[in-house]
Amino acid sequence: MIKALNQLSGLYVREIKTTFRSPAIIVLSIVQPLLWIIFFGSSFASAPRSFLEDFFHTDNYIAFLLAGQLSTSMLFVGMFSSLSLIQDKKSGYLRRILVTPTSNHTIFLSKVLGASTRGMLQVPIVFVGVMLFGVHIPDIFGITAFVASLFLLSLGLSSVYLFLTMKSSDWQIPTVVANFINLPLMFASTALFTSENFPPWMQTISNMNPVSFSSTFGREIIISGSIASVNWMYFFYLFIFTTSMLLIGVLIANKTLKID
Amino acid sequence: MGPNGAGKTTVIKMLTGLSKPTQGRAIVAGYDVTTHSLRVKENIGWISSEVILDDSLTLMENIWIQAKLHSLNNTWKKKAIDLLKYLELDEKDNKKVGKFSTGMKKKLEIIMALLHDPKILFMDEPTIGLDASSRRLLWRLIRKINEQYGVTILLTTHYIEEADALCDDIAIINNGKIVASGSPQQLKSRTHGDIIEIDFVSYFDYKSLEKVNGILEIVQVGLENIDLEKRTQSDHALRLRIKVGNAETILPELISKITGFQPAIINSIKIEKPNLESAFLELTGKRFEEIEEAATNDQK
Repeated sequence: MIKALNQLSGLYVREIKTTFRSPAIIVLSIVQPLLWIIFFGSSFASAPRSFLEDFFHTDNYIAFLLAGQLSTSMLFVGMFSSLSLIQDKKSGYLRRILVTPTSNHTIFLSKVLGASTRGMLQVPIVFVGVMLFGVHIPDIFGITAFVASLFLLSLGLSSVYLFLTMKSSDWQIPTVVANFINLPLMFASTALFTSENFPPWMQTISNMNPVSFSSTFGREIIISGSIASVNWMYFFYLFIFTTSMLLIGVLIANKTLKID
Repeated sequence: MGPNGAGKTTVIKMLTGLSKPTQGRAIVAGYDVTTHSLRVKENIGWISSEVILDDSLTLMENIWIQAKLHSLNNTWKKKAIDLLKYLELDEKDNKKVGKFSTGMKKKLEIIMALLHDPKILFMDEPTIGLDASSRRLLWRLIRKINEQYGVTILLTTHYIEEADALCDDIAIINNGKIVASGSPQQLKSRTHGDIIEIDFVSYFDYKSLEKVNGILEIVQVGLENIDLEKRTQSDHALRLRIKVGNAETILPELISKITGFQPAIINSIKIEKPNLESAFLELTGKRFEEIEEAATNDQK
Protein backbone atom coordinates (compact mmCIF):
# COMPACT_ATOMS: atom_id res chain seq x y z
CA MET A 1 0.00 0.00 0.00
CA ILE A 2 2.79 2.41 0.97
CA LYS A 3 4.64 1.44 -2.18
CA ALA A 4 1.56 2.18 -4.31
CA LEU A 5 1.08 5.55 -2.59
CA ASN A 6 4.73 6.41 -3.21
CA GLN A 7 4.38 5.57 -6.87
CA LEU A 8 1.08 7.43 -7.15
CA SER A 9 2.52 10.53 -5.49
CA GLY A 10 5.56 10.49 -7.80
CA LEU A 11 3.46 10.24 -10.94
CA TYR A 12 0.89 12.73 -9.66
CA VAL A 13 3.53 15.33 -8.83
CA ARG A 14 4.97 14.84 -12.30
CA GLU A 15 1.54 15.52 -13.82
CA ILE A 16 1.14 18.66 -11.74
CA LYS A 17 4.63 20.00 -12.41
CA THR A 18 4.28 19.39 -16.12
CA THR A 19 0.92 21.16 -16.11
CA PHE A 20 1.87 24.14 -14.02
CA ARG A 21 5.13 24.75 -15.87
CA SER A 22 3.28 25.27 -19.11
CA PRO A 23 2.29 28.93 -19.52
CA ALA A 24 -0.21 27.98 -22.24
CA ILE A 25 -2.09 25.67 -19.89
CA ILE A 26 -2.17 28.28 -17.13
CA VAL A 27 -3.48 30.97 -19.47
CA LEU A 28 -6.07 28.60 -20.95
CA SER A 29 -7.23 27.52 -17.51
CA ILE A 30 -7.73 31.12 -16.41
CA VAL A 31 -9.12 32.68 -19.55
CA GLN A 32 -11.54 29.99 -20.72
CA PRO A 33 -13.87 29.95 -17.67
CA LEU A 34 -13.80 33.72 -17.42
CA LEU A 35 -14.82 34.06 -21.06
CA TRP A 36 -17.72 31.71 -20.40
CA ILE A 37 -18.86 33.76 -17.44
CA ILE A 38 -18.40 37.11 -19.16
CA PHE A 39 -19.92 36.29 -22.54
CA PHE A 40 -22.36 33.46 -21.95
CA GLY A 41 -23.22 34.77 -18.49
CA SER A 42 -24.17 38.13 -19.97
CA SER A 43 -26.69 36.58 -22.40
CA PHE A 44 -29.56 37.37 -20.07
CA ALA A 45 -28.19 40.64 -18.64
CA SER A 46 -31.08 42.64 -20.11
CA ALA A 47 -33.78 40.09 -19.40
CA PRO A 48 -36.62 41.20 -17.09
CA ARG A 49 -36.17 40.19 -13.46
CA SER A 50 -39.47 38.29 -13.48
CA PHE A 51 -38.32 36.21 -16.47
CA LEU A 52 -35.09 35.29 -14.68
CA GLU A 53 -36.91 34.38 -11.49
CA ASP A 54 -39.50 32.31 -13.36
CA PHE A 55 -37.03 30.56 -15.57
CA PHE A 56 -33.83 30.31 -13.49
CA HIS A 57 -35.22 30.74 -9.94
CA THR A 58 -32.78 33.61 -9.32
CA ASP A 59 -32.47 37.19 -10.53
CA ASN A 60 -28.81 36.73 -11.52
CA TYR A 61 -28.16 34.36 -14.43
CA ILE A 62 -24.43 34.27 -13.64
CA ALA A 63 -25.29 32.87 -10.19
CA PHE A 64 -27.35 30.23 -12.01
CA LEU A 65 -24.62 29.57 -14.56
CA LEU A 66 -21.66 29.37 -12.13
CA ALA A 67 -22.16 25.75 -11.02
CA GLY A 68 -23.13 24.67 -14.54
CA GLN A 69 -20.15 26.36 -16.13
CA LEU A 70 -17.69 24.79 -13.71
CA SER A 71 -19.34 21.40 -14.20
CA THR A 72 -19.08 21.80 -17.97
CA SER A 73 -15.41 22.72 -17.58
CA MET A 74 -14.84 19.39 -15.87
CA LEU A 75 -16.14 17.71 -19.03
CA PHE A 76 -13.40 19.32 -21.06
CA VAL A 77 -10.76 18.79 -18.40
CA GLY A 78 -11.44 15.06 -18.59
CA MET A 79 -9.97 15.07 -22.07
CA PHE A 80 -6.57 16.09 -20.67
CA SER A 81 -6.19 12.76 -18.91
CA SER A 82 -6.37 11.04 -22.31
CA LEU A 83 -3.99 13.49 -23.92
CA SER A 84 -1.49 13.09 -21.10
CA LEU A 85 -1.49 9.30 -21.53
CA ILE A 86 -1.10 9.56 -25.30
CA GLN A 87 1.79 12.00 -24.78
CA ASP A 88 3.48 9.44 -22.51
CA LYS A 89 2.93 6.69 -25.07
CA LYS A 90 4.33 8.81 -27.90
CA SER A 91 7.39 9.98 -25.96
CA GLY A 92 8.11 6.50 -24.61
CA TYR A 93 7.73 7.70 -21.01
CA LEU A 94 4.99 5.13 -20.42
CA ARG A 95 7.57 2.44 -21.17
CA ARG A 96 9.90 4.00 -18.60
CA ILE A 97 7.11 3.78 -16.02
CA LEU A 98 6.07 0.27 -16.99
CA VAL A 99 9.56 -1.20 -16.50
CA THR A 100 9.35 -0.15 -12.86
CA PRO A 101 7.22 -2.12 -10.37
CA THR A 102 4.31 0.28 -10.88
CA SER A 103 0.85 -1.18 -11.44
CA ASN A 104 -1.20 -0.11 -14.42
CA HIS A 105 -3.98 1.13 -12.15
CA THR A 106 -1.53 3.44 -10.34
CA ILE A 107 -0.69 5.05 -13.68
CA PHE A 108 -4.42 5.33 -14.43
CA LEU A 109 -5.15 6.98 -11.08
CA SER A 110 -2.26 9.44 -11.44
CA LYS A 111 -3.62 10.60 -14.80
CA VAL A 112 -7.15 10.96 -13.45
CA LEU A 113 -5.97 12.87 -10.37
CA GLY A 114 -3.69 15.08 -12.47
CA ALA A 115 -6.47 16.06 -14.86
CA SER A 116 -8.89 16.68 -11.98
CA THR A 117 -6.40 18.89 -10.17
CA ARG A 118 -5.96 20.82 -13.37
CA GLY A 119 -9.71 21.32 -13.48
CA MET A 120 -9.79 22.53 -9.89
CA LEU A 121 -7.36 25.31 -10.82
CA GLN A 122 -10.29 27.09 -12.45
CA VAL A 123 -12.48 27.15 -9.38
CA PRO A 124 -10.86 30.01 -7.38
CA ILE A 125 -10.43 32.06 -10.55
CA VAL A 126 -14.09 31.72 -11.49
CA PHE A 127 -15.17 32.48 -7.92
CA VAL A 128 -13.24 35.74 -7.97
CA GLY A 129 -14.61 36.52 -11.44
CA VAL A 130 -18.28 36.00 -10.53
CA MET A 131 -17.96 38.12 -7.40
CA LEU A 132 -17.38 41.06 -9.75
CA PHE A 133 -20.80 40.27 -11.27
CA GLY A 134 -22.55 40.45 -7.93
CA VAL A 135 -22.69 36.74 -7.14
CA HIS A 136 -22.53 35.95 -3.42
CA ILE A 137 -20.02 33.29 -2.50
CA PRO A 138 -21.37 30.73 -0.01
CA ASP A 139 -19.86 30.02 3.40
CA ILE A 140 -16.83 27.75 3.83
CA PHE A 141 -18.97 24.61 4.21
CA GLY A 142 -20.84 25.50 1.07
CA ILE A 143 -17.64 26.11 -0.86
CA THR A 144 -16.14 22.84 0.42
CA ALA A 145 -19.21 20.81 -0.56
CA PHE A 146 -19.40 22.50 -3.96
CA VAL A 147 -15.69 21.95 -4.70
CA ALA A 148 -15.95 18.35 -3.52
CA SER A 149 -18.83 17.72 -5.95
CA LEU A 150 -16.82 19.23 -8.80
CA PHE A 151 -13.81 17.13 -7.86
CA LEU A 152 -15.95 13.98 -7.88
CA LEU A 153 -17.38 14.91 -11.28
CA SER A 154 -13.91 15.60 -12.62
CA LEU A 155 -12.54 12.27 -11.34
CA GLY A 156 -15.47 10.39 -12.87
CA LEU A 157 -15.32 12.12 -16.25
CA SER A 158 -11.51 11.84 -16.47
CA SER A 159 -11.89 8.13 -15.78
CA VAL A 160 -14.43 7.81 -18.59
CA TYR A 161 -12.16 9.59 -21.03
CA LEU A 162 -9.15 7.59 -20.02
CA PHE A 163 -10.72 4.16 -20.28
CA LEU A 164 -12.38 4.98 -23.58
CA THR A 165 -9.04 6.00 -25.09
CA MET A 166 -6.75 3.66 -23.13
CA LYS A 167 -5.67 1.62 -26.13
CA SER A 168 -5.16 4.53 -28.47
CA SER A 169 -1.98 6.42 -29.32
CA ASP A 170 -3.74 8.70 -31.77
CA TRP A 171 -4.02 12.36 -30.83
CA GLN A 172 -7.32 12.60 -32.74
CA ILE A 173 -9.17 10.01 -30.67
CA PRO A 174 -9.75 12.14 -27.52
CA THR A 175 -11.16 14.90 -29.72
CA VAL A 176 -13.50 12.45 -31.43
CA VAL A 177 -14.58 11.03 -28.07
CA ALA A 178 -15.03 14.59 -26.73
CA ASN A 179 -17.48 15.38 -29.49
CA PHE A 180 -19.55 12.34 -28.69
CA ILE A 181 -19.46 12.86 -24.93
CA ASN A 182 -19.15 16.56 -24.16
CA LEU A 183 -21.81 18.16 -26.27
CA PRO A 184 -24.65 15.70 -25.45
CA LEU A 185 -23.73 15.71 -21.75
CA MET A 186 -23.49 19.50 -21.68
CA PHE A 187 -26.74 20.25 -23.50
CA ALA A 188 -28.74 17.41 -21.97
CA SER A 189 -28.02 18.66 -18.49
CA THR A 190 -29.05 21.45 -16.16
CA ALA A 191 -25.66 23.15 -16.63
CA LEU A 192 -26.93 26.03 -18.78
CA PHE A 193 -30.70 25.89 -18.37
CA THR A 194 -33.25 24.18 -16.16
CA SER A 195 -34.61 20.91 -17.55
CA GLU A 196 -38.27 21.95 -17.14
CA ASN A 197 -38.66 22.80 -20.82
CA PHE A 198 -36.66 19.86 -22.18
CA PRO A 199 -38.50 17.23 -24.23
CA PRO A 200 -39.12 14.04 -22.21
CA TRP A 201 -36.23 12.08 -23.78
CA MET A 202 -33.79 14.89 -22.96
CA GLN A 203 -35.18 15.15 -19.45
CA THR A 204 -34.51 11.43 -19.01
CA ILE A 205 -30.89 11.91 -20.04
CA SER A 206 -30.59 14.99 -17.86
CA ASN A 207 -31.92 13.09 -14.85
CA MET A 208 -29.15 10.50 -15.23
CA ASN A 209 -26.44 12.93 -16.23
CA PRO A 210 -23.61 13.47 -13.72
CA VAL A 211 -23.18 17.00 -15.08
CA SER A 212 -26.73 17.69 -13.94
CA PHE A 213 -26.02 16.24 -10.49
CA SER A 214 -23.05 18.52 -10.01
CA SER A 215 -24.75 21.58 -11.58
CA THR A 216 -27.90 21.26 -9.53
CA PHE A 217 -26.08 20.48 -6.29
CA GLY A 218 -23.68 23.40 -6.74
CA ARG A 219 -26.44 25.76 -7.83
CA GLU A 220 -28.48 25.05 -4.72
CA ILE A 221 -25.45 25.96 -2.60
CA ILE A 222 -24.65 29.13 -4.57
CA ILE A 223 -28.21 30.42 -4.59
CA SER A 224 -29.00 29.56 -0.98
CA GLY A 225 -25.51 30.51 0.24
CA SER A 226 -25.06 27.45 2.47
CA ILE A 227 -25.49 23.69 2.61
CA ALA A 228 -28.48 23.91 4.93
CA SER A 229 -31.14 23.27 2.30
CA VAL A 230 -29.32 21.34 -0.43
CA ASN A 231 -30.40 17.95 -1.71
CA TRP A 232 -27.51 15.61 -0.82
CA MET A 233 -28.90 12.91 -3.07
CA TYR A 234 -27.17 14.64 -5.99
CA PHE A 235 -23.86 14.39 -4.17
CA PHE A 236 -24.55 10.73 -3.44
CA TYR A 237 -25.32 10.06 -7.15
CA LEU A 238 -22.06 11.77 -8.07
CA PHE A 239 -20.21 9.64 -5.56
CA ILE A 240 -21.72 6.47 -7.06
CA PHE A 241 -20.92 7.63 -10.60
CA THR A 242 -17.32 8.48 -9.77
CA THR A 243 -16.68 5.32 -7.77
CA SER A 244 -18.11 3.20 -10.59
CA MET A 245 -16.06 4.95 -13.27
CA LEU A 246 -12.86 4.70 -11.21
CA LEU A 247 -13.45 0.99 -10.65
CA ILE A 248 -14.16 0.35 -14.33
CA GLY A 249 -11.08 2.40 -15.23
CA VAL A 250 -8.87 0.45 -12.84
CA LEU A 251 -10.08 -2.85 -14.29
CA ILE A 252 -9.61 -1.71 -17.88
CA ALA A 253 -6.17 -0.23 -17.11
CA ASN A 254 -4.97 -3.46 -15.52
CA LYS A 255 -6.15 -5.38 -18.54
CA THR A 256 -5.30 -3.16 -21.48
CA LEU A 257 -2.74 -0.48 -20.59
CA LYS A 258 0.47 -1.29 -22.41
CA ILE A 259 3.01 0.15 -24.77
CA ASP A 260 2.49 -0.10 -28.51
CA MET B 1 23.35 -9.41 -31.21
CA GLY B 2 21.35 -9.68 -34.38
CA PRO B 3 20.23 -7.86 -37.50
CA ASN B 4 17.21 -5.57 -37.56
CA GLY B 5 14.00 -7.49 -37.07
CA ALA B 6 15.83 -10.42 -35.48
CA GLY B 7 13.88 -10.02 -32.24
CA LYS B 8 16.36 -8.22 -29.97
CA THR B 9 13.91 -5.61 -28.68
CA THR B 10 11.17 -8.22 -28.36
CA VAL B 11 13.46 -10.25 -26.11
CA ILE B 12 14.11 -7.20 -23.93
CA LYS B 13 10.39 -6.40 -23.80
CA MET B 14 9.58 -9.91 -22.64
CA LEU B 15 12.40 -10.09 -20.11
CA THR B 16 11.46 -6.71 -18.62
CA GLY B 17 7.79 -7.61 -18.35
CA LEU B 18 6.62 -5.16 -21.01
CA SER B 19 5.29 -7.90 -23.28
CA LYS B 20 3.98 -11.33 -22.47
CA PRO B 21 5.62 -14.27 -24.22
CA THR B 22 3.21 -16.16 -26.47
CA GLN B 23 4.86 -19.37 -25.37
CA GLY B 24 7.72 -20.56 -23.25
CA ARG B 25 8.98 -19.34 -19.91
CA ALA B 26 11.59 -16.82 -18.84
CA ILE B 27 13.12 -16.35 -15.40
CA VAL B 28 14.81 -13.05 -14.57
CA ALA B 29 16.51 -12.48 -11.22
CA GLY B 30 14.81 -15.63 -9.98
CA TYR B 31 11.27 -14.60 -10.93
CA ASP B 32 9.02 -15.70 -13.75
CA VAL B 33 8.43 -12.74 -16.07
CA THR B 34 4.80 -13.72 -16.70
CA THR B 35 3.58 -14.58 -13.22
CA HIS B 36 5.80 -12.26 -11.14
CA SER B 37 6.48 -9.35 -13.47
CA LEU B 38 6.40 -6.75 -10.68
CA ARG B 39 9.08 -8.73 -8.79
CA VAL B 40 11.16 -8.87 -11.95
CA LYS B 41 10.78 -5.10 -12.37
CA GLU B 42 11.98 -4.49 -8.81
CA ASN B 43 15.25 -6.19 -9.69
CA ILE B 44 16.05 -4.75 -13.08
CA GLY B 45 17.19 -1.49 -14.57
CA TRP B 46 16.47 -0.46 -18.15
CA ILE B 47 18.00 1.85 -20.71
CA SER B 48 16.35 2.17 -24.09
CA SER B 49 17.77 2.90 -27.51
CA GLU B 50 16.18 6.33 -27.56
CA VAL B 51 16.46 8.85 -24.72
CA ILE B 52 13.31 8.76 -22.58
CA LEU B 53 13.19 11.47 -19.94
CA ASP B 54 10.74 14.18 -18.95
CA ASP B 55 12.31 17.24 -20.54
CA SER B 56 10.13 19.65 -18.59
CA LEU B 57 11.62 18.43 -15.30
CA THR B 58 15.06 19.04 -13.84
CA LEU B 59 17.70 16.36 -13.55
CA MET B 60 16.97 15.83 -9.86
CA GLU B 61 13.20 15.77 -10.41
CA ASN B 62 13.62 13.01 -13.00
CA ILE B 63 15.69 11.03 -10.52
CA TRP B 64 13.17 11.72 -7.73
CA ILE B 65 10.32 10.26 -9.80
CA GLN B 66 12.41 7.18 -10.52
CA ALA B 67 13.04 6.81 -6.77
CA LYS B 68 9.30 7.14 -6.14
CA LEU B 69 8.44 4.53 -8.76
CA HIS B 70 10.78 2.10 -7.02
CA SER B 71 9.48 3.27 -3.64
CA LEU B 72 13.01 3.83 -2.36
CA ASN B 73 13.66 5.10 1.13
CA ASN B 74 15.52 8.35 1.78
CA THR B 75 18.92 6.85 0.99
CA TRP B 76 18.20 7.28 -2.72
CA LYS B 77 19.43 10.87 -2.60
CA LYS B 78 22.90 9.90 -1.37
CA LYS B 79 23.09 7.20 -4.02
CA ALA B 80 21.98 9.70 -6.66
CA ILE B 81 24.60 12.23 -5.57
CA ASP B 82 27.31 9.55 -5.65
CA LEU B 83 26.26 8.47 -9.13
CA LEU B 84 26.06 12.06 -10.32
CA LYS B 85 29.62 12.64 -9.16
CA TYR B 86 30.74 9.34 -10.65
CA LEU B 87 29.30 10.28 -14.04
CA GLU B 88 30.32 13.94 -13.71
CA LEU B 89 26.80 15.35 -13.79
CA ASP B 90 26.78 16.74 -10.25
CA GLU B 91 26.65 20.38 -11.27
CA LYS B 92 23.56 19.97 -13.41
CA ASP B 93 21.05 18.85 -10.78
CA ASN B 94 18.82 21.94 -11.00
CA LYS B 95 18.83 22.24 -14.77
CA LYS B 96 15.95 21.05 -16.95
CA VAL B 97 17.02 18.00 -18.88
CA GLY B 98 15.47 19.33 -22.08
CA LYS B 99 18.60 21.46 -22.43
CA PHE B 100 21.03 18.55 -21.97
CA SER B 101 23.11 17.00 -24.73
CA THR B 102 22.31 13.43 -25.76
CA GLY B 103 25.41 12.18 -23.97
CA MET B 104 24.34 13.86 -20.72
CA LYS B 105 20.84 12.44 -21.07
CA LYS B 106 22.29 8.97 -21.54
CA LYS B 107 24.33 9.43 -18.36
CA LEU B 108 21.19 10.49 -16.51
CA GLU B 109 19.37 7.43 -17.78
CA ILE B 110 22.20 5.27 -16.46
CA ILE B 111 21.92 6.95 -13.05
CA MET B 112 18.16 6.36 -13.01
CA ALA B 113 18.63 2.75 -14.03
CA LEU B 114 21.14 2.10 -11.23
CA LEU B 115 19.37 4.04 -8.49
CA HIS B 116 17.64 1.01 -6.95
CA ASP B 117 20.68 -1.31 -7.16
CA PRO B 118 19.28 -3.62 -9.84
CA LYS B 119 20.64 -7.12 -10.24
CA ILE B 120 20.35 -6.92 -13.99
CA LEU B 121 20.58 -3.91 -16.26
CA PHE B 122 18.90 -4.17 -19.66
CA MET B 123 20.27 -1.94 -22.38
CA ASP B 124 18.39 -1.98 -25.65
CA GLU B 125 20.80 -0.79 -28.35
CA PRO B 126 22.09 1.94 -26.04
CA THR B 127 24.49 3.54 -28.49
CA ILE B 128 22.27 3.66 -31.54
CA GLY B 129 22.20 7.14 -33.03
CA LEU B 130 25.26 8.31 -31.07
CA ASP B 131 28.33 9.67 -32.80
CA ALA B 132 31.58 7.71 -32.58
CA SER B 133 33.04 9.62 -29.63
CA SER B 134 29.81 9.47 -27.61
CA ARG B 135 29.60 5.76 -28.36
CA ARG B 136 33.15 5.19 -27.08
CA LEU B 137 32.34 7.25 -23.98
CA LEU B 138 29.28 5.14 -23.29
CA TRP B 139 31.29 1.96 -23.74
CA ARG B 140 33.72 3.15 -21.08
CA LEU B 141 30.80 3.91 -18.78
CA ILE B 142 29.23 0.52 -19.34
CA ARG B 143 32.52 -1.20 -18.49
CA LYS B 144 32.92 0.97 -15.38
CA ILE B 145 29.40 0.21 -14.20
CA ASN B 146 29.91 -3.50 -14.72
CA GLU B 147 33.18 -3.45 -12.77
CA GLN B 148 32.29 -0.94 -10.06
CA TYR B 149 28.70 -1.96 -9.31
CA GLY B 150 28.93 -5.63 -10.22
CA VAL B 151 25.64 -5.49 -12.06
CA THR B 152 24.92 -7.98 -14.84
CA ILE B 153 24.27 -6.17 -18.08
CA LEU B 154 22.19 -7.59 -20.89
CA LEU B 155 22.79 -5.45 -23.92
CA THR B 156 21.37 -5.75 -27.41
CA THR B 157 23.25 -4.35 -30.35
CA HIS B 158 23.79 -4.70 -34.04
CA TYR B 159 27.24 -3.14 -33.78
CA ILE B 160 29.75 -5.97 -34.05
CA GLU B 161 32.58 -4.02 -32.48
CA GLU B 162 30.32 -3.05 -29.58
CA ALA B 163 29.53 -6.66 -28.77
CA ASP B 164 33.19 -7.58 -29.15
CA ALA B 165 34.35 -4.74 -26.92
CA LEU B 166 31.78 -5.08 -24.14
CA CYS B 167 30.41 -8.59 -23.90
CA ASP B 168 31.61 -11.63 -22.00
CA ASP B 169 28.90 -13.74 -23.61
CA ILE B 170 27.10 -13.20 -26.87
CA ALA B 171 23.98 -14.76 -28.32
CA ILE B 172 23.43 -14.17 -32.00
CA ILE B 173 19.75 -14.19 -32.89
CA ASN B 174 18.13 -14.28 -36.26
CA ASN B 175 14.41 -14.51 -37.02
CA GLY B 176 13.66 -14.85 -33.32
CA LYS B 177 15.96 -17.79 -32.73
CA ILE B 178 19.39 -18.06 -31.14
CA VAL B 179 21.67 -19.28 -33.90
CA ALA B 180 24.85 -19.25 -31.84
CA SER B 181 26.01 -18.32 -28.38
CA GLY B 182 29.22 -18.21 -26.39
CA SER B 183 32.09 -15.91 -25.60
CA PRO B 184 33.31 -13.67 -28.42
CA GLN B 185 36.36 -15.92 -28.69
CA GLN B 186 34.22 -19.07 -28.92
CA LEU B 187 32.00 -17.55 -31.56
CA LYS B 188 34.96 -16.49 -33.63
CA SER B 189 36.53 -19.92 -33.41
CA ARG B 190 33.25 -21.53 -34.48
CA THR B 191 33.55 -19.98 -37.87
CA HIS B 192 37.12 -19.82 -39.16
CA GLY B 193 39.64 -20.40 -36.41
CA ASP B 194 42.92 -18.45 -36.37
CA ILE B 195 45.27 -18.13 -39.28
CA ILE B 196 49.04 -18.22 -38.69
CA GLU B 197 50.92 -16.88 -41.68
CA ILE B 198 54.63 -17.67 -41.70
CA ASP B 199 57.25 -16.44 -44.19
CA PHE B 200 60.32 -18.68 -44.48
CA VAL B 201 63.57 -17.57 -46.07
CA SER B 202 63.73 -20.79 -48.08
CA TYR B 203 61.56 -23.64 -49.12
CA PHE B 204 61.37 -26.88 -47.16
CA ASP B 205 59.03 -29.85 -47.12
CA TYR B 206 56.39 -28.52 -44.79
CA LYS B 207 54.06 -31.54 -45.07
CA SER B 208 55.35 -32.96 -41.81
CA LEU B 209 53.95 -29.89 -39.98
CA GLU B 210 50.45 -31.27 -40.54
CA LYS B 211 51.14 -33.74 -37.74
CA VAL B 212 51.20 -30.93 -35.15
CA ASN B 213 48.10 -31.18 -32.94
CA GLY B 214 45.48 -28.52 -33.59
CA ILE B 215 46.46 -27.69 -37.16
CA LEU B 216 43.40 -27.78 -39.37
CA GLU B 217 44.85 -26.96 -42.74
CA ILE B 218 48.12 -25.76 -44.32
CA VAL B 219 48.12 -23.82 -47.55
CA GLN B 220 51.22 -22.68 -49.40
CA VAL B 221 50.72 -19.25 -50.88
CA GLY B 222 52.54 -16.67 -52.91
CA LEU B 223 54.30 -18.94 -55.41
CA GLU B 224 51.48 -19.51 -57.81
CA ASN B 225 52.57 -16.99 -60.45
CA ILE B 226 56.30 -17.36 -60.28
CA ASP B 227 58.28 -18.85 -63.14
CA LEU B 228 60.48 -21.42 -61.45
CA GLU B 229 63.30 -20.92 -64.01
CA LYS B 230 63.50 -17.18 -63.47
CA ARG B 231 62.90 -16.97 -59.72
CA THR B 232 65.21 -14.82 -57.57
CA GLN B 233 66.58 -15.57 -54.14
CA SER B 234 63.55 -14.10 -52.48
CA ASP B 235 61.31 -16.19 -54.69
CA HIS B 236 62.85 -19.26 -53.18
CA ALA B 237 61.06 -18.25 -50.02
CA LEU B 238 58.05 -20.05 -48.70
CA ARG B 239 54.86 -18.60 -47.28
CA LEU B 240 52.43 -20.81 -45.42
CA ARG B 241 48.95 -20.00 -44.18
CA ILE B 242 48.17 -22.37 -41.38
CA LYS B 243 44.59 -22.63 -40.17
CA VAL B 244 44.39 -23.52 -36.48
CA GLY B 245 41.82 -23.48 -33.68
CA ASN B 246 43.74 -21.16 -31.39
CA ALA B 247 47.05 -19.71 -32.52
CA GLU B 248 48.46 -18.97 -29.04
CA THR B 249 48.00 -22.59 -27.96
CA ILE B 250 49.57 -24.15 -31.01
CA LEU B 251 52.37 -21.71 -31.73
CA PRO B 252 54.97 -23.06 -29.23
CA GLU B 253 54.75 -26.62 -30.59
CA LEU B 254 54.69 -25.36 -34.16
CA ILE B 255 57.81 -23.22 -33.69
CA SER B 256 59.55 -26.11 -31.99
CA LYS B 257 58.76 -28.38 -34.92
CA ILE B 258 59.86 -25.79 -37.48
CA THR B 259 63.19 -25.17 -35.79
CA GLY B 260 63.88 -28.90 -36.30
CA PHE B 261 64.30 -28.15 -40.01
CA GLN B 262 67.66 -26.46 -40.45
CA PRO B 263 66.87 -24.72 -43.72
CA ALA B 264 63.54 -23.49 -42.56
CA ILE B 265 64.47 -20.18 -41.05
CA ILE B 266 61.52 -18.03 -40.15
CA ASN B 267 61.42 -14.58 -41.64
CA SER B 268 58.16 -13.39 -40.06
CA ILE B 269 55.05 -14.64 -38.30
CA LYS B 270 51.63 -13.03 -38.46
CA ILE B 271 48.54 -14.15 -36.59
CA GLU B 272 45.14 -13.31 -38.03
CA LYS B 273 42.26 -13.60 -35.62
CA PRO B 274 38.80 -14.21 -37.03
CA ASN B 275 36.45 -11.36 -36.12
CA LEU B 276 32.88 -11.35 -34.98
CA GLU B 277 31.75 -9.84 -38.21
CA SER B 278 32.75 -12.94 -40.15
CA ALA B 279 31.06 -15.08 -37.50
CA PHE B 280 27.95 -12.91 -37.66
CA LEU B 281 27.82 -13.11 -41.42
CA GLU B 282 28.24 -16.84 -41.46
CA LEU B 283 25.65 -17.44 -38.74
CA THR B 284 22.96 -15.01 -39.83
CA GLY B 285 23.55 -15.08 -43.56
CA LYS B 286 23.39 -11.28 -43.59
CA ARG B 287 26.14 -8.87 -44.45
CA PHE B 288 26.91 -6.49 -41.64
CA GLU B 289 27.08 -3.47 -43.97
CA GLU B 290 23.50 -4.14 -45.05
CA ILE B 291 22.36 -4.32 -41.45
CA GLU B 292 24.08 -1.08 -40.50
CA GLU B 293 22.65 0.64 -43.53
CA ALA B 294 19.16 -0.53 -42.61
CA ALA B 295 19.65 0.70 -39.04
CA THR B 296 20.85 4.09 -40.25
CA ASN B 297 17.80 4.39 -42.49
CA ASP B 298 15.57 3.48 -39.54
CA GLN B 299 17.18 6.23 -37.47
CA LYS B 300 16.45 8.78 -40.21
